[in-house]
Amino acid sequence: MFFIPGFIIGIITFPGVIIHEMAHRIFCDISGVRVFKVCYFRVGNPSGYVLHEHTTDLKASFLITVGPLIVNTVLCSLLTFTPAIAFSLKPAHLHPIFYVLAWVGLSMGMHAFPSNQDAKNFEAVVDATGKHGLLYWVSKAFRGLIFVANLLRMVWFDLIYAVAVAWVLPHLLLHSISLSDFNN
Amino acid sequence: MIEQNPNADANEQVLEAHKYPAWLLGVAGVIVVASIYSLFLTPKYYPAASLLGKAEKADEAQQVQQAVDLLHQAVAKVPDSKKIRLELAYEDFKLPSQEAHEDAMAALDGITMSPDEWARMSTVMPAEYQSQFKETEDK
Repeated sequence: MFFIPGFIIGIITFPGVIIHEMAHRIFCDISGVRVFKVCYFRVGNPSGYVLHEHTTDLKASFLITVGPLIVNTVLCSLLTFTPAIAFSLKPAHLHPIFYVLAWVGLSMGMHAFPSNQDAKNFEAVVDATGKHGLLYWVSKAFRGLIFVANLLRMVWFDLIYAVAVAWVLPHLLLHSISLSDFNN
Repeated sequence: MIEQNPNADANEQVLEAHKYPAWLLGVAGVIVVASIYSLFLTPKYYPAASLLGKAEKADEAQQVQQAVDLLHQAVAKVPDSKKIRLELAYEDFKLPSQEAHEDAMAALDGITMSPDEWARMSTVMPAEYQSQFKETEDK
């Protein structure tokens, strides 16, 4: 196991950071939450941030928090779809665009998970509602999940997640098609 | 990361909604163009991978000739695919004909096998063909 400082990973995977912040911004705009400042990428910790107005709207807060998880995961899956299939066939020559797409796609996947700060903001909004119903406990579980995911970044969970996302869609599709065609 | 600003007042400068910097739209545009170009290349690799999957199912069902036919179609789509050529040779060696074995040797032409790949291949490759291969030094 080897460790690389977070800011270096941020530099190498900067497309994912940019889209992560863009996703927060897009969901702020969709939810009607005013945004004051956006840093799409910088060398440092954090690699990017979105500063927006305080909201007590649970739905808006949830969407803003999970925005990158949705956008980055979908983009990771789409961008790596063809490269994943091509790499699996081990061709002697591959078009360079596949390497570029794999890098951009995996960068997206590696920055899909919301940060601990993102989850903490969402938890604060849920706490502020004062209700302890199902949503409260779901948000606590979500907060815990994000915390564990960020903790596991030490053992490259972000890269494992990105590779899994890149692998799942093409292989599920290929497996289901080959199975159904063969059975027919 | 997102931060909420509880002290924001009405005078604080607010970014216009749905308005993004030109460079960001440029980055998004490049990603979209690259994705579309990649999708244009999908028809070459996806059918080959699909045929390979079907051939593996045929192999599981002990339908070797069907697997060989499917792999011939796959190798026609991606002739330099090591995985398909290895699979084709593996299935060809299972057939009892000289012609199929020659087809297998043609599929293996120019390919360097890893120890695992060689171990699998040698379970079906007749001894007279095995002697035509030699160990290489690791690069």
